[in-house]
Amino acid sequence: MTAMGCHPSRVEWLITPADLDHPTRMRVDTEHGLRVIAHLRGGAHIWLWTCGGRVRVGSGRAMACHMTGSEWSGDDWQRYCHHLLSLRYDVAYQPVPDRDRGDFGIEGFTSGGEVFQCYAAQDPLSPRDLYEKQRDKMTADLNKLEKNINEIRQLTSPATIKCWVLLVPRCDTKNIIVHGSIKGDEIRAKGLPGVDGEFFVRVLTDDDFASEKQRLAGAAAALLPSPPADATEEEAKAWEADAPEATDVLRRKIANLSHVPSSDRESLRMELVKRHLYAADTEDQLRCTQPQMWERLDVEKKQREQTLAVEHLVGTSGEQRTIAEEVDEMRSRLESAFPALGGGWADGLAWGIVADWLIRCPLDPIPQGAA
Amino acid sequence: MAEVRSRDPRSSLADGRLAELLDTGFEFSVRPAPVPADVRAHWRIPLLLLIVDSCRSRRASLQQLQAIAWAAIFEESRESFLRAFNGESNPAALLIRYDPAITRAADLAVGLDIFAWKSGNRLAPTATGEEVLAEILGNADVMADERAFLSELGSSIPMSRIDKMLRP
Repeated sequence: MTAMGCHPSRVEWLITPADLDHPTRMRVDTEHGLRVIAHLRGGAHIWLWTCGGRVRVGSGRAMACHMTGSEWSGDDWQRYCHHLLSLRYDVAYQPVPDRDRGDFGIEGFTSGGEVFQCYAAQDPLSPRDLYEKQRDKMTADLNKLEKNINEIRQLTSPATIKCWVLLVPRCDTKNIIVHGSIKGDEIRAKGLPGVDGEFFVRVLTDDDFASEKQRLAGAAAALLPSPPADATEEEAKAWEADAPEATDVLRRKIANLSHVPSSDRESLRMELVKRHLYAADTEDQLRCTQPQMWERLDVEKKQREQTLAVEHLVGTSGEQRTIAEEVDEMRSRLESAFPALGGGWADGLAWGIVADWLIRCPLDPIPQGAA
Repeated sequence: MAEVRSRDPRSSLADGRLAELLDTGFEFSVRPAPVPADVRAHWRIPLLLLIVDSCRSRRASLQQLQAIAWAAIFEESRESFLRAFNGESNPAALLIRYDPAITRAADLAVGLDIFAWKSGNRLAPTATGEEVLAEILGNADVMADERAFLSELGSSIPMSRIDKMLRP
């Protein structure tokens, strides 16, 4: 069974279990939680849970598969949360070390009385399993808050504790928010010393720290390698020699562009090949050094391809937008999706992606005046 | 921020001229796109089998697999990984990349009954996995580069040393 695409909500699987005579290809939508995806030969079912659940193929044969599930270890998630909180609250945020008789169930607090705990359950988990783990964690740590309130007051003083926040990589169900609300009511009702009368419990993910995430992404740019060198004329010619069919396709498409002077056709083709090679080199470099970023880039490209194909089908593309404008659009999308990459990378990738579309055939130019 | 690249001085067409020449409408239809071989699960599962086979007690956690696989897949990363592994460089300077495709391949391998989870968080080959592994090992040409790299780590990689590299 092979995943053919990796967008979290549109996953295409090629399913070839031994009990099937023929491979079955299907496109599934995982946005709507648990559902029977397909009935296969011999009564087998495929089930898919949203976000890192299980796929079941045939009787009693379970397959775990992550799509967008959190991959965080507890330590890594805690470190990441400390970064986000430090960026948001600056010196008002105080992390609590846990090496000396534990951390009383809190990872850190602010001078405003907000107390934070981080928790990353080990995926793959169905939404229900995840809820149960997060619920148990919340219950256990709020019990610690109550038990250790005198020690925690010493830490947070002079502020009273106004809220307790559980930071999690993903929150799949409102039930955990309801549980937090109930626990908040219970703590308030106990009138613990140092706990504010308006105390409440919240469950947040890193999506609630959008600007801090963006700043961290900026810092991550320092880890990026230098962009690759531009492809040379010699490399472009070598590529053409290796790929005569693709070269012919490109030559034919350019020949159809009556507005392109014949003296420019050769240089236009060479430039497109060079930009295609530059983007391929950039993607290889990202795949090696930033595999997560490379996957997101791949998804971004596929999404754009799907959108353009649909726009074309319903007649809203092509005539309205030119190829050059599509390069601008792609560049703008890449800059927005990957702020860490910077303009130079986005520009090179945008030109290279469009050149690849011309070479690989999804994009067919319409000669000026022919539309 | 990464530096902005400079254009090749031999570039025959500047951005402005290129945009002029491509100032024309287009049609678009989705076509299959090639997927790099080393991203495919069918390539990564055998790699994970080889890695686990090289590990002491023939079990490895997902984090340990991530670290070794990152080094095994990319030629550029092998040398720096080996230096840190052999204590010749500071592991803190090693930026081991987390690759979601490794996790997916591991999950798929569990579903295909090639791996099984042991002691909660260690992957070990099942009987089916052992059969696949024997087939891979029976052909010296299969994944030769990756096998050569793993042999440099030793026939029984101490996982405690990998853990130290992950948390120096």
